[in-house]
Amino acid sequence: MIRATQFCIAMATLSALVGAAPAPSVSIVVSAPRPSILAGEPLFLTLTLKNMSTEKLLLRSDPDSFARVSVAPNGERTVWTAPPPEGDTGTFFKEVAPGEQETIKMVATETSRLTLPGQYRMTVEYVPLRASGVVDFNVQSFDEGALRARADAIHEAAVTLHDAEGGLNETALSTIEPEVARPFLCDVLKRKPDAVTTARKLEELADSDSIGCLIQVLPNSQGLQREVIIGALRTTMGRVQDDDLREKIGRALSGQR
Amino acid sequence: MTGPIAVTPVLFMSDGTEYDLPTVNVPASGVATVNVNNALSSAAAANAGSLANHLSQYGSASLRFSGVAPTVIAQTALGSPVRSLSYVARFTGILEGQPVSQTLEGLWWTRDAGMGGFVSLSNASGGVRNVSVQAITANGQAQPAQSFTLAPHAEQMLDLVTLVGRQLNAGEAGGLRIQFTGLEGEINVVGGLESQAGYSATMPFWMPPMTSMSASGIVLGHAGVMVGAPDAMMGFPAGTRFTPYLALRNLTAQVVPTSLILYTEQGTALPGPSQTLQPFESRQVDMSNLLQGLGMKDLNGMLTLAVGHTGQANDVIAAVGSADASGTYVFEVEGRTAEQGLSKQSPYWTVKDGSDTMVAVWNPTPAPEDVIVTLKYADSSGHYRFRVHLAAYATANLDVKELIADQSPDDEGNVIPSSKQEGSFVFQSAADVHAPLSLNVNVGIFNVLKGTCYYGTIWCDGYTGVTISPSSLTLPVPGNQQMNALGQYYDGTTPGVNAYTTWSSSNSSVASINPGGQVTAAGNGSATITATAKLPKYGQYSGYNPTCAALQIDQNYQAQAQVTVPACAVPTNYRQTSFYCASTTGVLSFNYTWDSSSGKIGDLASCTIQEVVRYDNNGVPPSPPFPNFTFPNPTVIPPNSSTRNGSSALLVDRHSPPSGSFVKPYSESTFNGSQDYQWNCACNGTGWTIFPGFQGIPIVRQVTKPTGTWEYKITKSSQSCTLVIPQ
Repeated sequence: MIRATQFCIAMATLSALVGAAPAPSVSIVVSAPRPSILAGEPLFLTLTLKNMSTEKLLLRSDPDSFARVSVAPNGERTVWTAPPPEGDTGTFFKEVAPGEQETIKMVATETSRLTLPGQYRMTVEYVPLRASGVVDFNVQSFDEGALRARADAIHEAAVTLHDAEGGLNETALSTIEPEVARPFLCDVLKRKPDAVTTARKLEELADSDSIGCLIQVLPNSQGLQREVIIGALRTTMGRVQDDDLREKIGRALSGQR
Repeated sequence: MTGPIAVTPVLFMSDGTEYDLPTVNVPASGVATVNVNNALSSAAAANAGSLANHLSQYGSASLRFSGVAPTVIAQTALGSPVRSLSYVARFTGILEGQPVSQTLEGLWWTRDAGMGGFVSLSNASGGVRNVSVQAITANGQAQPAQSFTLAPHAEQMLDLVTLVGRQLNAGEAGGLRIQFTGLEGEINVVGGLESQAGYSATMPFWMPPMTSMSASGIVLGHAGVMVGAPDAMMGFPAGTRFTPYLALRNLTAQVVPTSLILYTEQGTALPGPSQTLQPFESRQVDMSNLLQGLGMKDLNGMLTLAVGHTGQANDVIAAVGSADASGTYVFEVEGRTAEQGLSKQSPYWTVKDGSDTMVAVWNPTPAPEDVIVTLKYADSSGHYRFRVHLAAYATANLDVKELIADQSPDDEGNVIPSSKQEGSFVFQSAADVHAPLSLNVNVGIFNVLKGTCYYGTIWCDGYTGVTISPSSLTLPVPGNQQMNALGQYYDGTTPGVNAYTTWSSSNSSVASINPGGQVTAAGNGSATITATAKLPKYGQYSGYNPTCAALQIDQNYQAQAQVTVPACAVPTNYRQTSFYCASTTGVLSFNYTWDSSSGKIGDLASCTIQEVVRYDNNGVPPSPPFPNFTFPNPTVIPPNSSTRNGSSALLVDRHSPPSGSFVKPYSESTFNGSQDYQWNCACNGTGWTIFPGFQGIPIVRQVTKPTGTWEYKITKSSQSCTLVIPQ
């Protein structure tokens, strides 16, 4: 086992903060830009983490550092925790001075599975420091037409907004049920050259339409998106049972590197 | 204004000789009055040698002060208490532009036989001006013009009877046409009517209608026309009764059907007989007959007279007022169009030396309106402010002396101290001082003992300019910033006026701006953002125009702001700072950090940093012995662009074993990956760039048995981590 001194210091600081202070070193304010969502639509969150300590803190800025619990009108709880890291992963940390704050935006992906209409309360916890905040939101009854319109708006935002905001909307779209979201996912892939999340979602769906979209976009794709689409098609070719579809994928890939 | 203003009243004798009166300091929002007669008496005494030869019985006046006109608003009251005569003259500015032919149309009328009048022409310019004057008969025929040459600042007093060319009979009406070539406002015209009995009235002079303007429904409102016996509080002698008068003149070459509607204080409409005015015709309307026809002969109180027609505001001049039987007391009511505008002001109220001030406010709309009336004190020491609710078409009449006597606190707890005897008015919407308002206001300043009554001029409030907030900013690419246009209202307040503003950028490749005023940085450099706001202008309710709208139309105020877009900061000096092997899990971690080319890591907010790992066999390691696991190929880390923040200080990279159980039978096996670290900054537009030295870094995962024990081993950047797997 090899350790580097500098790294030890960094991690020791984080560990100490997790375990030592009885009160959290950060405060969290949670808000929802759209606090009323349709059943099937995910909730966007804005979190403001403020360093309440007297030391600089390194705070994670990715959604996987947070756990969420939503309590439905009937008391039912929906819990979301980050899956354990697999394969090769990376996490950004940001230095936050005492008294300073950091804003993190995320999509509560699990909320698109909430079906019971009514008022919900979500508690969001920053797992490394056990600090939490609360936000109330409302889920409206399922309305496919309205959800489709909302998915359309999210997909447009995914395509047109800048990097981070576009990425958030891409994530949000990928959580909406495929029957509604699929055409919009395909349009995002066509119009957003760095739409990795969307390509992965289509790979995950692996139905005829989704694969057809990957095949359709492939010839005009470039760079990393092209690599991701090729990787997705190769993976799906090993999974799909439909011979015609496999042949279609094969033809598409045969023309590529 | 927010501070006092030094104002020097300047008198010009009839020959143009200038005489400066002592400078007066007008307090902020305050009032100062100057007695011209006293000043001239002092001048005569002090300048017996130099000025004596130039002193005249009439002349003109101007005001000299520093600031943007009309920072000071003013009016002149002319009168003879001995003969109970009173007139109003206005201060008007000279408009910029090219000299063109200018026309002013006036209206005269007679109450008694043998009445006379005067017309004074004053040249406010520094050059000689030739002025022609024509009398217009009642049926619109123009009489031969008479010409006058006015030296700079000189004044010419003309006799109305001489201009008309005959003695005037009772109940007549006619017109006067004044023409000159120059700038608007260079020749000021004041006209007055008088009778031996003491009847006096100011003759209205208007600019003629403009042929380029389209026609619309016009209502000239005359708020607070006194009828019958006045309120006892006003102090008129017992038995005094007022009878309204109305004279009309058509300023167009067309027949103009004109409606007359009287409104009670409660807003009830009493339509009178319509008047069909022939081209350029002048006439008087017998208001006694009209009231009798409406069953209002015995009314005691106030009415509002609305004179309506279809066309332009200046088509029909109306002279409206009330006089007692002897003509001693004449309350003139100036007509103003009933359009929507902003707040209004009147520069003077007084209760001094036996004077009193009446105010009438009329709501010319079919919807109720709430109005805030503010009485400011002359010494700027405070104000009294109260709300007036006006039902549809209703009129409220207020007496300042009564307000002072009443001593009721306003909403702010103020009462008017009895020591406050002069001041000014502001009339505004109850919603906000900047909110649109439809309101007709008439102010009458009267003195029963002297038999004088002046109307107060009404000034249109509005804007004097626009500013942009922020006035300068530094905005890195691809930042956005909302710009706000702030109107400079006459009272010093600065409401947001983005809704009336168009935006432009001098260099859109540096910074563009959208119609909503949001600036987007595009490239290094500087750009000037210009806001053009179309706002009502702050200006006088001109004596030559009955409408605020004509004065306020299409004022395009401009302001500029500077946007600096700094050079694009990019991440540099990407480096590995540490690594860590978790021997119980086989996870090999690395820490990476980087700097900003600007020296400030926060400048990298527009940058994203990511890793890409590409694997052999499309991400499927050989199994057995590796677990049945597929690495997404390529793996982009972090997977979502929303979390790749270049301004972060640290990236912790974790390389875990493939999830799942290693599969027997084991054999020496290798699975290769290759890793790039790259950055992309929206501000430099070059797309993804791989950090030098961080391209194609091998990640080697092995199942190996170096010392008789099967283990998983991962190697990257010369560092390894091993995990003993089930044997």
